[in-house]
Amino acid sequence: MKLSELALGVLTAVGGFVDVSELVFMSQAGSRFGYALIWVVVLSTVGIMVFGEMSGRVAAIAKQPVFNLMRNRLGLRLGLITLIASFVSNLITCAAEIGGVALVLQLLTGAPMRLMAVAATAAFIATVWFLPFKWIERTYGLLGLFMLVFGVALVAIHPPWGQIAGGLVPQVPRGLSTRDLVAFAYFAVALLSAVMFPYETYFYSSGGIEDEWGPKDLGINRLTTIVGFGLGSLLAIALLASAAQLFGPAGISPEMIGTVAMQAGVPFGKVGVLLALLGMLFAIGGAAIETCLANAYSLGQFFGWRWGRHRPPREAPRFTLSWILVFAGSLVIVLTGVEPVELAEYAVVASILVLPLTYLPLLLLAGDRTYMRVHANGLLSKTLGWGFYVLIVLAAIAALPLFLLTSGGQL
Amino acid sequence: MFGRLTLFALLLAGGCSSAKDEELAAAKGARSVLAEWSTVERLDRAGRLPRAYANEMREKAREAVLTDRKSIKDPDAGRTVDAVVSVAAPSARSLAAAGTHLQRAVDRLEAL
Amino acid sequence: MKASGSLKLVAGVRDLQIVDCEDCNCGIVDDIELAGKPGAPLEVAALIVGPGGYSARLPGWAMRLVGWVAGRDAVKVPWDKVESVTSVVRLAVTAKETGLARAEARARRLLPGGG
Repeated sequence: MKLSELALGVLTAVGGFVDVSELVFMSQAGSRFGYALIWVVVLSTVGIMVFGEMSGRVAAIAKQPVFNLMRNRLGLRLGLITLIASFVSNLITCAAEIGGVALVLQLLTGAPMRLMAVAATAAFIATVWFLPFKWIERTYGLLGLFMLVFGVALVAIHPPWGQIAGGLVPQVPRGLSTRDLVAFAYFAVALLSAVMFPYETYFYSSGGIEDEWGPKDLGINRLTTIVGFGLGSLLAIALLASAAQLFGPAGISPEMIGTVAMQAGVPFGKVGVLLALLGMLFAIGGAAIETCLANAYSLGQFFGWRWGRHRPPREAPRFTLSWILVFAGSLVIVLTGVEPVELAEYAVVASILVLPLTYLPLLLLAGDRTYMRVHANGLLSKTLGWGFYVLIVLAAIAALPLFLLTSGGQL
Repeated sequence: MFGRLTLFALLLAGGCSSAKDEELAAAKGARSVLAEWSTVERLDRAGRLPRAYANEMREKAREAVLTDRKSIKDPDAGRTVDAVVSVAAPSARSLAAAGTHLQRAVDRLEAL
Repeated sequence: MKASGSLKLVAGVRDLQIVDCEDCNCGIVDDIELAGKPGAPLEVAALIVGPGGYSARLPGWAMRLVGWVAGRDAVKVPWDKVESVTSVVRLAVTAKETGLARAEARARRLLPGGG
């Protein structure tokens, strides 16, 4: 593996880490609870590293895509329930991303949001139709690196580094009212969900199969998930910390996605805002494509169709039709006028509910020596995998009540 | 802690305060949007925001505050919001002051 | 009760990916058709592929929902067209010869330039 290939893979993972839900929840969590939720971001990042690495390894060794093995392991009934639940969750997420992109385009150009949503969807369809898989991933991932401006902006505003480091320690802030305590729990669950979105695993492992990974690619898989996701998570923490520093004291709990760009605007003015908006555009745009393709992958794998972007679109017609329809369906949701922030809130709740069903067959297969041979889960992967699985199940149980009790974090 | 959480959950699940909750959520939302809007005006005045961005953010803030206003029943909070949105181009200072004023209404509603 | 050879096969083959002789994915084994006479051992007669194959595996209400969304079509692939069963079911013929390419062809017609 060439060093440049490796670096490119890692950078792509960094640029593609943040999506619209993370932008919203990191900023809101930071402005509301200061640095106290940083440990949840770190914990969730370790979770996505563990399951991302596992899904990549399964793709490389067992050559089994997630939904194929899910049906095989869970059977038709439970498999179908998982498919429908994850389809709905991904569709809402995709709509939130398209809405986010439309909003950013509106802020950049001043054109009406609905028009921008239509234009963005058309651009996404053209991108997926014409560009090879690797190009799609890299174009959006690398251009998403404009998001690094948020990291630089954090350094420029001289935050209290000691307090940020203090946020790494698991904690519940003292003196919170009962209402705030419930909100704290809601944000903890939402951050876990936003970092561990199920589409990321579907997309990542399907990408591994598209790129025909084999045992020789296990190194890059490990590096991409650990270093790439790790650095991406630093960006997410920068968003949270900047919000804690700039927004919290001003009484802002970002209700508008565009407000997030001011984190770069405060230290760097117009250039900062423009770079932030460009970063958001490509990071959210990349996530829109990933969520949409994740749905098409799920359908294709569950029903055993020809699937994949390594084939010309007409050679995998049901797969192609699926992603076009998912884009169209997401656009319809956006055109109804639901705010992208609201969609992002629904998306994180729907996603956490799906996670336990998604990760169970993955855990089972990754530990199965018949398929995985010497590459089956070792003690560390097994312990971490099951540990996070318990955490995800608990979060899934708590998610809906917390969402209702806090009116989606507004109370 | 769990006792308090359970009590809170039961109260909310019983629908004892759903109208109040809606008003509180709206008041909190409006309070934040006023602060966001104020920051936009402050940075724009200093020439630190792209024109299209500032204009769109202003418009979105006004829309968001007007939407929240529909659920705000507290007369004092309502007057504060009405006063701000009745001005074509409110200043950063007046927006910040309105936000601070609205915070009092939020505190009142939270105490109920 | 000890599972007979046929029952084991049903459990092992159901929900496996089907790949044709040109290495193309062409469906999942949704169910299996067994044939036999009283006193004679059961034999696998065909693979059933398509939403119509779910009827024995889903409750009635779920099947009505599936039928409404995806129809009740099913293609039967004779067992003698199966070359091997590993982690996938490999056919000795092309998807087109078994009728498994029909749905893909229908979808192709809906795509731009696919008519």
